[in-house]
Amino acid sequence: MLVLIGPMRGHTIRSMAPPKTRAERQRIRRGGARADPSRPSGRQLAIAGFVAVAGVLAFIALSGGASPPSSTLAPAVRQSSHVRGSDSALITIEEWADFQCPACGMFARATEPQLVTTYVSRGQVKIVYRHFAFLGPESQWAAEASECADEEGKFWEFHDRLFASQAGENRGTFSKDNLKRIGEALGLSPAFAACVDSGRHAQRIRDETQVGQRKDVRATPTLFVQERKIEGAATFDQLKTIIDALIAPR
Amino acid sequence: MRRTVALVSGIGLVISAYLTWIHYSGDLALCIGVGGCEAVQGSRFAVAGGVPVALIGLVGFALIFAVALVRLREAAPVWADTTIFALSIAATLYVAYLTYIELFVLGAVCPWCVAVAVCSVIVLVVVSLELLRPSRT
Repeated sequence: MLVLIGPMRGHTIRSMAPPKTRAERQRIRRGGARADPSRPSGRQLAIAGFVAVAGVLAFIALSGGASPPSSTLAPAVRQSSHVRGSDSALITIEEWADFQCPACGMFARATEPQLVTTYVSRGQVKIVYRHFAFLGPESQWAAEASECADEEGKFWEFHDRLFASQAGENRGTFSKDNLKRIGEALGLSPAFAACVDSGRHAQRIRDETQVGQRKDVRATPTLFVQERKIEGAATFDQLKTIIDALIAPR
Repeated sequence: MRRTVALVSGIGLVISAYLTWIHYSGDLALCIGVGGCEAVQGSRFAVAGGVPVALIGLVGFALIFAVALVRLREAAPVWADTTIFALSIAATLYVAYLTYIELFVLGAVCPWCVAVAVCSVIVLVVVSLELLRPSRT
């Protein structure tokens, strides 16, 4: 009984005491401060703000702003025109791509090296590159320049270098001058620069892009693994499933 | 005001989830010729320190949204106020940096990323208006 009465009495007393008294008591305890205890003080907010700003700046600095572009692209297996791998490979992956397309860059940097190591180097798969230059003038120039590089047997080196150098579309990254510099860095002859200026492969690029349109290519990269069409930068695992299924019955 | 914060951070959460999903589904990483999100999400700036930026946004908005829900209660704790203030400053600062990268480094703007940035700014403005106004006695 005593146990029951205790809390009951306490409750009665508390409810009888008006809340005003409690608020007053709090105010007295805080030395008459007018601050609202249910809200953070200016000092608390300042500390929170400082921690937030410092945290984000530290994160941006530590993450290096951006992941560095991959510079270790797979070396070209063979310097045949636009075909990576053995002509006798059972499976052909035809890639329709634009040098300015970031998704093509992802494919070239992440998926293609794995394909080369796993399948192309074993003669099971060959990769064919087809131009689908549709993202503006620098796409067209870059594709033309890759044909100029091909004249000196360096299509794939140039291809890899372009995809490693992507930095925004139609902003001068693949201006004719920059393309010439990229070629020079790869050890291409002065004839390469003249070829870039001449525009002599322009029609070929336009024609190939039209061929792509007739094949119902609408986006890049579009892959044809044998006859199967895949839109977008397929991952290595996605392609592995398809390729292994094609290889298995043989 | 608190409902606005919860609503806007909820929208930010959904968009971040969508962008994170796009990041991880290779199928959608393609160029369709109208620039924008694929250029931004396919760029080397889409991953910071090994973590996809979209995922950072997802985690950030999940935290802000959770704290915003806590603050909807009658007697919300003071830590919720300071936490949401810090989170919204951090979020706005980071999206400001990302938008700068979009505009001046990549030259491509992803409308969904802009929507996330707008959500961050709205949350910060509303939270600041509430917390920084002079105390009533």
